[in-house]
Amino acid sequence: MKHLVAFCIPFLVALQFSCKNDDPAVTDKEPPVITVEKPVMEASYTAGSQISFEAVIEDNQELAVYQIEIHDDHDGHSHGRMAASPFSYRKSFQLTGKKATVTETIAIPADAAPGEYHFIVTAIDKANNATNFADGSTKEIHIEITEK
Amino acid sequence: MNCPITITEPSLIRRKNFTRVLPYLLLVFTWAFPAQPARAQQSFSGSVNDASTGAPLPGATVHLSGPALSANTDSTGRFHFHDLQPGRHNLRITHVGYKHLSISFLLRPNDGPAKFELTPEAVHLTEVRIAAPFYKKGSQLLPTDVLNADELRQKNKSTIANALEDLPGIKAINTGVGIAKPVIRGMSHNRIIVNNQGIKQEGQQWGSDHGLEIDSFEPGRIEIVKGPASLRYGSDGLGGVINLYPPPIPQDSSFKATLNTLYNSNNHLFGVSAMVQGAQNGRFYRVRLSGQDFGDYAVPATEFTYNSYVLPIYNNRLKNTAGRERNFSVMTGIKKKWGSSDITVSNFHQKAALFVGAIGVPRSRQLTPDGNNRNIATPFQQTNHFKVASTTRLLHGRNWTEIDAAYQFNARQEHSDGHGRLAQGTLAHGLDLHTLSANIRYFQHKKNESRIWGLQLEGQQNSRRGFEYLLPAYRKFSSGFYALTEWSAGDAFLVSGGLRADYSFIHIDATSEPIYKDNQVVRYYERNPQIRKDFANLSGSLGFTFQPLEDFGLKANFGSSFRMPAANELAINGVHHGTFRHEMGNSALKTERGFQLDLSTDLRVERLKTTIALFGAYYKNYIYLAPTAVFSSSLDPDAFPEGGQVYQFQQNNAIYGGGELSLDYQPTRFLQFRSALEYVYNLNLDSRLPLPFTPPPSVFSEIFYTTAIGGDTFSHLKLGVNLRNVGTQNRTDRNERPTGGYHLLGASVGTIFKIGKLSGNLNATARNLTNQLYMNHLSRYRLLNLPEPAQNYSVSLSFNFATL
Repeated sequence: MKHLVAFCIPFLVALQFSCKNDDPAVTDKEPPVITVEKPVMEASYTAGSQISFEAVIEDNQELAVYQIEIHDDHDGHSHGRMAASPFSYRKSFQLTGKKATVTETIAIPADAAPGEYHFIVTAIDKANNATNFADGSTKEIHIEITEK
Repeated sequence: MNCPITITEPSLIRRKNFTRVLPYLLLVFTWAFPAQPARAQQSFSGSVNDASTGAPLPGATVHLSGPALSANTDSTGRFHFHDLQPGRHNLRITHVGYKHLSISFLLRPNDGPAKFELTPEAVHLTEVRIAAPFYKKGSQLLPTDVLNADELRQKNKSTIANALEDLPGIKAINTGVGIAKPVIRGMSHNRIIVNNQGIKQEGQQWGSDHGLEIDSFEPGRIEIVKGPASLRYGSDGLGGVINLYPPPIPQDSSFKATLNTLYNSNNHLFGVSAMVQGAQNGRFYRVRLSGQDFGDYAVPATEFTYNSYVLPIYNNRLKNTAGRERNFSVMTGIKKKWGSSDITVSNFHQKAALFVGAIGVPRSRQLTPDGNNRNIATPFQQTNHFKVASTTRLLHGRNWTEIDAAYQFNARQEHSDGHGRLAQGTLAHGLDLHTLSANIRYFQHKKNESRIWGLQLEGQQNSRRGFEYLLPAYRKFSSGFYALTEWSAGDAFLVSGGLRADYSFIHIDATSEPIYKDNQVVRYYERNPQIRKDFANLSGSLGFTFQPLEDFGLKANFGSSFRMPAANELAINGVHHGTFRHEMGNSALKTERGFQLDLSTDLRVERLKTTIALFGAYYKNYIYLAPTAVFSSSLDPDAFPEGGQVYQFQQNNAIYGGGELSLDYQPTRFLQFRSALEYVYNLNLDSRLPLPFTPPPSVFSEIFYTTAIGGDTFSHLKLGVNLRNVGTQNRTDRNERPTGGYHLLGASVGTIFKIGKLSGNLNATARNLTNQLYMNHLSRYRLLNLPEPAQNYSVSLSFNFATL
């Protein structure tokens, strides 16, 4: 019996640790929340036309910056590493306040290679909390560019 | 009552007259007052010390051949056996670097603790004997764990870092199953040192997915020093040190051959290692060949979620996580009256596939099986570590000098299908690091004092290739000079202190990368300017051991430690695949400094032994990666096509604290219960947030039952059940996600066999018996929301053939 008690002690202590929730939320660790209105999933665009982007970005404290990235998904493996000749776009925009409705018009070059593209929106708040792919807080929209 | 035991060989007790007694072990046996009343079942305890310095010898193996019991001495050099029958027993004590001790003695009721002393092999050399190197390294004031080769084998692990994971305060950062790096009390990367044969292992240890490049079959003994060790081992040792020692130098006129095999059911790993060694007329050699081949590993899941998609895991196997390892080492040396000298040439070669989704965003179309569970496709990493190392010991009476010299060439390649503009195929990163090291240590021994003087020198050159960019080419030189002293005041008190001075410089080349447009170079983007920095540093430590009673001891150590900024912290500029973090160096970084207090106590109450080790540290200018509100695209729109959030190295003050609590309880001689709790707390005093990759609190418990089966071939069987309880880690850094807790059940069966000159071990272990789905906070694949490996059964079989 005595050793049963001894056996249990460390487990009880471990339980204690796992239930403990220190570090009160004095620090903001919440990333922004992005809701993309446009483009919609599987939207199709003709080369030479324009993509109109519309999204609502919110944060519990204060927004800082967001980025739009468009790149091709032609060969099916990892994201491209060089500014390649298929259409690519990457630009970041400053934000302020807790909620921002953002719009942008992006011109697709007339010679953009047709095919599947990823349209990705990422945001960072003032405390440097960023959205990410792992939990889906970074938004990825699949679009298609067709030949002119 | 004080009754000295009679020893049949009188030479054994004549300590002063070394020249005559040399070939034998020195043994001093003192019996104190009986600690317990007489009873039929007798306990037997004692301590093992170094005969030349009197210092306790942790990690010595004490074996009683009658009941086939073995025990290792603890950090204070003590051991205990329970429930022995009074009567004659055969005792054998072995420790690497010391002559073994074999005696037959009569265990009587009322016998108190016994004291044994082992003689270092290399000190007394009037006869030509093959001596093992000295292993009493470093101060005993910091909590130290020791694993010998047998214990290492019994873990049935395919990497060294994973074999150490069950020790209190030690963890591993894993990338799949073949790549692992050790973590000591939450510190890893450039904050701990791995010394192999006295030489600091120099690879690209700054990277989380860069594993330790050492053959897991090779070490004869592993010593883990938890706490500030930079005083003795240099910059980067502020979190702790792992010392890997080769097996002892073979005895003269001996020949030994061993064969180790390992099989893992989960990833169908086959590992084999063959070794031969021998010695004749003062010349000795050892040759080892090792190989491992493993397939994709299984997880207890058929899907995982990433980027808002549910992605498939076909046949429960993570596609492209196979790998292989091919290693060799050749050692030869000479042993004469003046001392000994040896040289080892070794090569570690590992090719390990990375899960297809580990680079970039995983897509469901990549995950369809390729019909082969054992192939290594892109992405993969290939590491080759070539090393020539030599150790020379020169004896001057009771004192001696050790000179280490080594050359290491670490060639690391990461391959992926990129969109490289240059004709470099799949090579994303190629890093070649050349390191030349030299250590000189002078060991002085007086009656109540031992002292070490040391000089360390290291020169490095790093170059790079590949279509991706992280780290520039650089050259680095570091030097350090130190003195460490231990004074003993009586039997109970030992004081230790040391001082160290360091100087180092680093020259980092300015690097610019071309930007292409329509296959033409249109301009260059400067990744980093030329950086030339030098660092000078003074540090020191002071500590004591107080052992007033046989069953109670106390240790305290206060040290100041330091770390020079590493090349990546000064100059990295690139996007880390998989994490999408753009890491940027900071050329303004200064030396990181730690002020560390370590306390530990051992207490034994009858059959229960408790060890408590606590640590607290304040770090000034602690270097860490801090997130910013900047995207790569704002730095340059074209240079970082895979751009993400920019993280820059910064330094601020931080605190660390925590400890380990270990219990060892032996209710009967057949039953042993061990449990160890560990906890690490840290806080970045600027962001008021924890530091990233902090191990969650955990408890590891084991019960062993040893049963004699009385056969001639198999003498006993050891059965074990173990449980790992891991708490939730909610204390995370910014942009680091919490990881839930889990309970992991394991089991083991082991036996030793002996047929004439052939002996061996058979060990079977089971891990994650309940096939639990869980995440490891320290796993690289945890970032992809991938669970840890499913149930695994391992079997290892070792054969030893020895003529002596």
